[in-house]
Amino acid sequence: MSGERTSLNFDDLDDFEAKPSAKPDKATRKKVDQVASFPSREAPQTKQMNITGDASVLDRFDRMCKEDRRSRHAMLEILMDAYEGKG
Amino acid sequence: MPVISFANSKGGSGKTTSALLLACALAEIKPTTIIDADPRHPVTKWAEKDGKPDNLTVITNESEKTIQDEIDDAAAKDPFVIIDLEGTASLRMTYAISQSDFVIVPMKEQQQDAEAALDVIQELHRMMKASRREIPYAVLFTQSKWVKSRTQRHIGNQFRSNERIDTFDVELFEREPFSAIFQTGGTVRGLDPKKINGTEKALENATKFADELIAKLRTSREKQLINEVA
Repeated sequence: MSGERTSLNFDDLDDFEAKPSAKPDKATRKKVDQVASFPSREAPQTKQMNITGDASVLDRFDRMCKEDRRSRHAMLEILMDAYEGKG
Repeated sequence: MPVISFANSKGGSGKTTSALLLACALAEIKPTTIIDADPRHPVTKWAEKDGKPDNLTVITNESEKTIQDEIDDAAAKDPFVIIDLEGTASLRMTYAISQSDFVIVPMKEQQQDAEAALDVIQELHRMMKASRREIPYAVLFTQSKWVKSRTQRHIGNQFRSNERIDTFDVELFEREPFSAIFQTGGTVRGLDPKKINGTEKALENATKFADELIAKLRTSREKQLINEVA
């Protein structure tokens, strides 16, 4: 094969660069989930986790879930997102 | 910068071939990532063979739950990110197009491909509304033949004459090198023209497609800048 390019305007492409973040914010992601008409094709995968630890910490976690009316799983995800700065 | 998705909810519409041709063309010049989000993982299997360009990174996506992070990570690393999606209307496709800077809707000039393309375009408009931003897109005719039936011409012309839907002037023709690379690995440029017919023409076809996409990306970027100023 010839190594010559046959391109007319396919130059060095230096005007295209990597970008810091392409991920939409949480509000946009929520909106995307609300208006998406294409369904998930993935079977939900569930798993059980037992946590042993200081009773005051676990009681605090349970109180948070109760006060915010969330499941333990949902609250855990919120806390992990906050920890990773995704909130 | 650009995240470019290939989306059509019907299988066999030419997504994987056109995505890989583009990824290989761009990787000749700039570091490029291709995310293989087709559960059959055709690009991953291609990459396991010899001849993958060094500048091309292949990410195998396994789930809708991880695709947004994978796109984000790839876009932070490489100037070009290509996403090959599954031929199914799925939430994974929705997530990918909502995060794209350009969506290419490949289709054969056939009724079923056309209907699936329109489904994707409708979903795309829902995503534009949800994300409050313009996501440019264009239909790419694939597996074209030089001699077209009346039905093929009719379907193609319906898209080309629709002012609301952008189409590529370039069509990807049905060419042996485009299917041969999945068997041999590597790129069209790397094929031996003595063994595979039409390699030069195929390369020219793929290059013109990449050229037209780059022109479209630049145009949409200029429009976006004008809108931001206004």
